[in-house]
Amino acid sequence: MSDIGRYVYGVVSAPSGSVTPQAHGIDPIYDVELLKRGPLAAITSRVRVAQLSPESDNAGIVDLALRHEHVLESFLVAGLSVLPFRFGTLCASDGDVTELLEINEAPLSRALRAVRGKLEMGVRIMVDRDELRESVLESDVELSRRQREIATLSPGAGHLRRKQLERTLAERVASEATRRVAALHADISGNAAAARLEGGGDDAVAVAAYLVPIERIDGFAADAHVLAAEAGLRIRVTGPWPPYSFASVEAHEEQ
Amino acid sequence: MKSSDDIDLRQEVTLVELVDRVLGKGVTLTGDVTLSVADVDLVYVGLRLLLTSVGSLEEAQV
Repeated sequence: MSDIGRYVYGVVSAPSGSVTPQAHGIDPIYDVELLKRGPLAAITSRVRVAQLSPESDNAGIVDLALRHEHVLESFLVAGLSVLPFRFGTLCASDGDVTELLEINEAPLSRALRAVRGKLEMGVRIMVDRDELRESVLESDVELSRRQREIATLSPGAGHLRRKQLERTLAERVASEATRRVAALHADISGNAAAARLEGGGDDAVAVAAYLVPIERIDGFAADAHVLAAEAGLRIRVTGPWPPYSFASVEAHEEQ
Repeated sequence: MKSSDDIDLRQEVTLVELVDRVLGKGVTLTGDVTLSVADVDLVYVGLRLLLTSVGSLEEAQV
């Protein structure tokens, strides 16, 4: 049975009573179990290690990520504060799990305290480039004068100046987007205990995460949308999530 | 029609956010070995598992 491991989803404070989460493990033939050690308990399940390498395709990985998430959510729903682990933490035996809790008790407890009673909300921030461009032109008399002037020139004569103007405009639009995103992030952070902002990809110019006290989760999205509208930005709010983005403790195993 | 497109997009965005979080954030431990599976790292804590599981992963690929 040596190709069976212990998968670790995250850590909770060891509950005094018994907790029976309604979730299958990442390997569906095994149930989720808490392994306790001192003040902490690891959320775990047995796993056939080969199940974690699903023909190396992306759909398989997304499916595994979803199962990891569902297990953590089942503990959140049960009212426990969860310190989520990144996907893919495996231990060889139950003893290794409890040893891991023991060796890393201090940093894990600290990280757990930081997220107690809080969940994460995600905000993807998007800009409408055309609207931003209009707004920059409207507020900049000199730029709009240049634009009108160039419009009267023949295509040949205006070509170089038009390119210069476009370059200047693109720079202004980019810096205006950065300014609006920073201002919105600061505003939304007022509703959070902690906040992170990263550069975006795909559709978003920035991706933010907020650690929000549970009692403020309900109004969070509505508030964020109001603030975004005021800032002239569009957002998509996701969550609540387990506080993945705020569980960045570097817990090193001692040799 | 628009509303169902909207829901699809919402689910798509949520999935992107989910994968970013589960695979990219959360507590990371320094394990004995890190294997990449579909660009995702598995961290093995404990040597006994390493010795057997590497073999079984290789077998699985044959």
